[in-house]
Amino acid sequence: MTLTSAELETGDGLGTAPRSPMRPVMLARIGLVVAFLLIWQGAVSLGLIDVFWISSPALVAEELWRLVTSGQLVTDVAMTVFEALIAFVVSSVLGVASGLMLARSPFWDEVLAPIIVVLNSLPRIALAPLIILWFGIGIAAKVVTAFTLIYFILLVNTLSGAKNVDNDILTIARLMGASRRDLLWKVTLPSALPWIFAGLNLGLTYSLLGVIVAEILASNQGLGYLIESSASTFNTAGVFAGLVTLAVVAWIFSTAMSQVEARLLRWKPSLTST
Amino acid sequence: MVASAATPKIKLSDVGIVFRPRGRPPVLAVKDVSLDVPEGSIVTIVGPSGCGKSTALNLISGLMEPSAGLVEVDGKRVSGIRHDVGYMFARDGMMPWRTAVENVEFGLEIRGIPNRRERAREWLRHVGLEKFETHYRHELSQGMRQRVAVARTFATDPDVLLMDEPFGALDSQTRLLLQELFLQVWESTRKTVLFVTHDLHEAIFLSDVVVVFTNRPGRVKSVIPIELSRPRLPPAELATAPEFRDIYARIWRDLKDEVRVFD
Repeated sequence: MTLTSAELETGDGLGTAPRSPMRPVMLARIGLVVAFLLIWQGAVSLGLIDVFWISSPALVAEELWRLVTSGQLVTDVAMTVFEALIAFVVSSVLGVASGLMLARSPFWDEVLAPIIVVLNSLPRIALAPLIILWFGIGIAAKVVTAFTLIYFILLVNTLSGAKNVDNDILTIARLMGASRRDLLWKVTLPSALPWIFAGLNLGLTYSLLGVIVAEILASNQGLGYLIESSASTFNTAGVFAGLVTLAVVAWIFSTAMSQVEARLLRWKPSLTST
Repeated sequence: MVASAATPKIKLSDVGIVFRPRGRPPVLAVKDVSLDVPEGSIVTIVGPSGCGKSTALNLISGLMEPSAGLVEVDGKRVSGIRHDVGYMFARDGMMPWRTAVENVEFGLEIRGIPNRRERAREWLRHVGLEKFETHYRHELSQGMRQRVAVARTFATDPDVLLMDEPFGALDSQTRLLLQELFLQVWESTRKTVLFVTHDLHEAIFLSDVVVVFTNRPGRVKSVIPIELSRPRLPPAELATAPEFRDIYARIWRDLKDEVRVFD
């Protein structure tokens, strides 16, 4: 995980900075992770800590291999990723659309503002038991749990972005004959894009969070289920195997997102000058 | 007020504007303003801050309606936003998510005009930015951004240009260059221009007529024809000419009393 975030930093520049894979920072990162794994393994081998509670890198690797070869890991990852992506896409589209609509209606914005604040500050995880009651232990319950987290983030961010459109640009566009539709698609939306992306980045993280929590609470598939069922049978290696996999999935998600973001927001000074 | 045989392009007749801020007494911003802008001429309004100069521009674009009097373009009363005016102000108004050429193209794009990329490129060339067409706003200097704004304003081929201190935020050297550039572009198009500025040099250099506004409520104090031949000398050279200094003194004499009210 640590190694790969270093790759991300060198990789997402605009190709202007020379990329040297053996930079001191990279070496230090690799060194830290290797040292950590060695200390962990050493402490277990020397009997300093109890392998029953803490497992060991070797056991985790073994468990991962078992899960991969049995095909269980692929099934669990596919299920979790599928649920998270559905939740992310549906909630983001609806959240952005709601934000843009509210931005156009000051009346409803004023009516709903305090309600949205209350709903958004409620710890949504507390809704999970109710959601499971209503939607069962299938995909729907996971998607809905994640939805309650992502939707409001996107709505609030999009709304702030849409309200922050430069008045000069709006005036010029209107005088040039832009219709309401032009203003929405060619002015408000691109102008709000940095806010929307801030929301999407958070939303992607929360999509995994929501889905995993729902899986831990009630399900028979997915990474959350793998972690929960391993823990309940005192299989700590299984728990760590699930966590490592989850970290890799989360990392792939955020890398993909920063690629999209770098492409769509290449006009932003902050993104091009790193 | 400006002598003209034909119908003036822009005509304000006894225009008054009252602002009614919520919870405060109404403010009379402009009073009994009558003003003619003949087709193909540059008329500049100078006056103290807050005298309603910019408001006059908003009346012509249709962004604002007069509380009294009549505003006409081509002999027709202005009602609602006009799409045939070009508008420029001190801030560049560039869309940061579009490149220079895409900014110039915007007006053509929403009108669905064919060959818009070529037209936009051509305008960028007129303002000397052909090498910067793929640059974004943050990659351009303030002067370059304002050049993009000039290109964007002319690209849609507007009937009337409304310029609200368009070079006011530039450093003085860049301002001189842009004034010269603007006049050069204007010479080839001869659009009708109503210009607002604080800068008397700029007013004299660009205009056929300078209109001095009084302190609030803004009224027309004097109308001064600028009888300097066109094409004009570059602003720095023109400033040393004796005719220029006479005109300057004349405008300043009228304006001084209005600015002084604040002392």
